[in-house]
Amino acid sequence: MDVARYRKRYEAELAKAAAPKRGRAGKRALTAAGKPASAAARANAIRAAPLEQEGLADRVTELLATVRDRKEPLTVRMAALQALGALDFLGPPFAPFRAAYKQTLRDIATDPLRTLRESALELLAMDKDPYAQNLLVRGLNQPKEAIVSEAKAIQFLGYDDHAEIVPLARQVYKRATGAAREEALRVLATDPQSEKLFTRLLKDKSEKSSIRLISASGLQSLNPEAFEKTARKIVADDSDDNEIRATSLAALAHGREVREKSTDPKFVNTVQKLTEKTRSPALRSSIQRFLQSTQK
Amino acid sequence: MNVEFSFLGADAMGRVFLTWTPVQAQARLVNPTGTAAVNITLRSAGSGGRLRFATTRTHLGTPTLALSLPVSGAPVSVFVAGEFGRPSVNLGDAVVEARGAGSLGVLGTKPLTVRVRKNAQTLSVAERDRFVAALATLNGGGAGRFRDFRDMHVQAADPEEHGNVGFLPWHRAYLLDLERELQAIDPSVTLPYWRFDRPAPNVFTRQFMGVPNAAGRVQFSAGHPFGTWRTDGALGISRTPSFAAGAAPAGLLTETQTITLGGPAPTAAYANFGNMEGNPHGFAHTSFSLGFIRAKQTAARDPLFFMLHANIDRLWAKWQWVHKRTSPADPRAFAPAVPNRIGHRLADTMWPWNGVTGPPRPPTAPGGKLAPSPSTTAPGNTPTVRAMLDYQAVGGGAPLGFAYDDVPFEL
Repeated sequence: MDVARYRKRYEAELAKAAAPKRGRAGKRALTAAGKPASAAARANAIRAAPLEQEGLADRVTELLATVRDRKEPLTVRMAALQALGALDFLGPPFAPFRAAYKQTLRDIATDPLRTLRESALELLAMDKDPYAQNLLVRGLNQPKEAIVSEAKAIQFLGYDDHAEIVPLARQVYKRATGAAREEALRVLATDPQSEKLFTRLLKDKSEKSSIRLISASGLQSLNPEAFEKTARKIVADDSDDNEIRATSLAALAHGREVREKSTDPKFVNTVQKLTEKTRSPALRSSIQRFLQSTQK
Repeated sequence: MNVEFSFLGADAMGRVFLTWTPVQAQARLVNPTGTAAVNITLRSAGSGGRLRFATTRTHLGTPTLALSLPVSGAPVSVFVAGEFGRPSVNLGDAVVEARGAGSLGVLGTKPLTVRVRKNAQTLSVAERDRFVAALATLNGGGAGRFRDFRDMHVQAADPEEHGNVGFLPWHRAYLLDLERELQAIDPSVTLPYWRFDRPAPNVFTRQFMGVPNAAGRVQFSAGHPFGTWRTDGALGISRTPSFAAGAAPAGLLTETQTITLGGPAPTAAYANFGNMEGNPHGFAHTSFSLGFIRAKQTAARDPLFFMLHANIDRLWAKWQWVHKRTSPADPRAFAPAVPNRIGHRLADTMWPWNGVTGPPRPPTAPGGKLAPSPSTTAPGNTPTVRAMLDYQAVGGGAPLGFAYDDVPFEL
């Protein structure tokens, strides 16, 4: 491609884009004189306003007020939350406002709007915030007080690997179904005592494939050698589910650094033979990747 | 009689990787049959990547080049670069061919790879799968070298990485380090970029970056290398976009809007362009209603994070090219740190590659030195902020060894 022609074309694009549309939209959003009438327009105006370090204090104050404003609809409040999250990525310049931001997140953690609540709780949980963790634990122990679903609560608590939620995760695993049961299992991957549970679930062909896949990952995390042994059997078992076989084989291929791996020639031979036997595209593709990894 | 090529920067297996930056090569006659110099024509003969040739270091190389090779076997220098817009798809699919006049025919060939970072949306299936497999291998089920990259992007390191002028150089070094580690696993791989100002339906699929279930857990196709993704003891990836798979996130500055942040030529300045750290950078992170990627301390657990930052770096590279702002001596190409923070000034070495710990640097320095590359000596294992600016070596010296599919080399 001719670089000079490419430059000319690109500069023309830039000239076209330099029209001051964005600036006008930003100013409209920030003037006290009049907010746009529709919620969508107000949300767009919040997103269009520049996120610059200059004038940051006023901008943050306005955004925090919008997030808290229960008269504003969800789209507008979420746009303000998005802008605050983006400012948080600035790091040091945002530091003076972090305490106020965190307090606002705590305030909206019990907001009537579920999406806003979840969003705030997740951000707090990522920060290992004890206030949010207490709310989540209380909801799991007393479902009437739950402010997010059981699945979300256990997922958010899992952001803190020091939160000692394993006993709670065990309870949820035993009583729950669906997504909450899966999320509880994910948390149990940090619990050495759950190794037997993962082994049993991974081997159990009657279990849901999503549960078996999480168990594969959990077992590999807790005891890579035990996983390797079980996974090899699953891969070689023609009667097992091809999705589980493909994922187990992929986990074997990438589970540890290939350059350090010495692969059992007997198992490699078994995998090579599988190429001829299986018609599953997923398994075939895993086989190909596994064999490539053994050649490097 | 044949023609032999030699390139600086071949890897241990003799493979050569090019970008758009011309590199010096040598051609010489081996076993000549006559006494007169032999006239040859170099041409780009591969099925994938295409090449350009010149006798001087220029972006105006041509698809063919006539050379006269002395019968003594003395080498003749030539510059070879990837043809902008025609990168490789597979290893060695760009071929330099030496053809003699008349019946002499083809006297020599050398397979090369034009290796550049590409838009994730347009990757071939094979390119996509190789990238995903290499990253899964680097992660090693949570216990591999990828862990260092997660440990680098944590709250304690915030002053090194964000909210100051070193934001872009630091992340450039970070991506380069990661890319080199991926290339040590599979040399055909480069970091793709997620062009977040455009719809990317091929990216948010179960075959690539995954699709969330109702609980916000990203689901992958059977056998996908990320199917058992683990980081820091946590299983899986949490990510719920606020935009439809076939749409771009709302509210992010477009590419052209981002480029114009720096102001118009000829006054376009880094100090203004750096505002892109808020939008589009921050907004791209928070264009997800839930998930790792929207918080600094968890973002690096999600592979998408690196594709997002590859796009941020591409935007900087594009701005540098448009306004020719690659020289550290040009005050418009960079800006003074505000405040005068260590790690953000041109001459400063960057953490963690410099191994410096303790205030004002973070308490630990995970990952060691920056990974080496067989293709280039730059930026060394302890990069400075300055070394990150002229990544294509427009001003001479050694390039950093990466380029973007839509940002040319231009003197």
